[in-house]
Amino acid sequence: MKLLTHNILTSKCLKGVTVGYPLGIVAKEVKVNEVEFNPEFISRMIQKVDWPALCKAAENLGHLDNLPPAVVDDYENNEEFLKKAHHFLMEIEVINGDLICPETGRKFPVTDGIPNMLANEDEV
Amino acid sequence: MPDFFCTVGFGLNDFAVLELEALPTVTVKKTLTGKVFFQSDCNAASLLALKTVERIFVNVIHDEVEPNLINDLDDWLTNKLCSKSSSLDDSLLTWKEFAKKTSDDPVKFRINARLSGIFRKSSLFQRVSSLAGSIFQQNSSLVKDLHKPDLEVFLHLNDNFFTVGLQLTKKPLSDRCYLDHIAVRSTVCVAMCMAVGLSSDDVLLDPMCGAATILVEAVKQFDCKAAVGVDCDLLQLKLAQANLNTSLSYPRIELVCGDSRIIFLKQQQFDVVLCDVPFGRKFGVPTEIHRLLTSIVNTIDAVLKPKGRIGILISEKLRQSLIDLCPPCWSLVKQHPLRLGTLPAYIVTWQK
Repeated sequence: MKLLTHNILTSKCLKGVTVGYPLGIVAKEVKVNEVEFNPEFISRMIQKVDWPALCKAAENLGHLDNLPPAVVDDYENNEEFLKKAHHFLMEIEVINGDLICPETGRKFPVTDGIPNMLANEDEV
Repeated sequence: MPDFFCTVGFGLNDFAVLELEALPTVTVKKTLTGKVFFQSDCNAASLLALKTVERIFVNVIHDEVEPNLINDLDDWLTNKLCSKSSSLDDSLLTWKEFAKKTSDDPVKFRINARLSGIFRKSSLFQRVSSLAGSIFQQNSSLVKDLHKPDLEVFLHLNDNFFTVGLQLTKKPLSDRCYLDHIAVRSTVCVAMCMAVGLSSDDVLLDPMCGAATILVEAVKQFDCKAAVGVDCDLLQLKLAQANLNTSLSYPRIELVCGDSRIIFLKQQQFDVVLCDVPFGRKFGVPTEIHRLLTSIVNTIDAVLKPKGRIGILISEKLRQSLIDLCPPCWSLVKQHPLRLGTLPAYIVTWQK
């Protein structure tokens, strides 16, 4: 599960949850891959990315140091910023661990890179 | 320019024609149910890269069938095949270029006959295959070999036409070397992407992805840079992971295990949603199917950006129910009838 994907997952479907975002991450195994850098693609993704949620995710994984705390002005032309964004969104992958609902503490396991968002009937 | 034809799944003719017309030096001459005839000077790589067709052939013969032919079939066939032996020689030259056959050894062939309409009799099949095989062997440098042929000679006789072609590849083009696990046929997946005008900039979701075949074709054929596949079945997702590995598309496709009847994805994140909706085999009762379709439509509506596009593959039986369920903000664009095996189905597209 890349952090780009984590950025769109919520636990809002659970009973009693108002926001359910962002999900906390407790990772047991994290992989860092090399993924082809595409500046136009990353620029477009940044438009939709919730940056504070990305920062929280990076912090949970203990990787926060390199990530800028906010999206800079004129990021489309800032290759250094785009490369850092690319690294965090596309190259860091949670292989095994749990995603945690911020309101109920309910865990959604991540196994072999796939987050499991299935919930029981009585939970939704 | 050499003549070719390709075989196409039912309902995919329009997509095949679009693909062909996008190639330089291709002129589409004729379309029939299941076949598109064209001329081309294209190099082999372009033709063999076609993604919505089943097989491609060098066209040797394509003639109308005379009435009452069945009474005189052997003589008619013999005359027809003998008179077209120079056409066969020319076609063989073209075939050899595609097959990259440089040696002078005789080409081993076998006849792959299909008889339909009034000719669909088991007694005729063997007779026609043997007769055609013998005539081809006598009138050309071809040598019959039923077990290890270099070349399949395709022969189709139906109520209207007699068509003979030399198959360009040993396996159908529709077999993808990069996919081991197929649910929806790859040609149909590509047609779905074409139907919504998928571009490489689109972020794509398949909320019931199974083995992720639609997503893999989106990445391989349309250079889609980011796609998410959701399925509630972990076993299916294992197959999807295998497909992602063999097709090398795993950097661009993310898989999530989840139930698309509930919303666990952030709103308005996707440009395109493509989905092959289960046709009621697992959810047999009509009220359950209706509930499933309603939930899926709600999820799709929530996760789709404004002006987002939707393409759904659905059985003919469920099509109207689905269309009736869609929110008024979805504007119906087109419905493409096709067949999945013998099952009539549709690709229906909307824009939000």
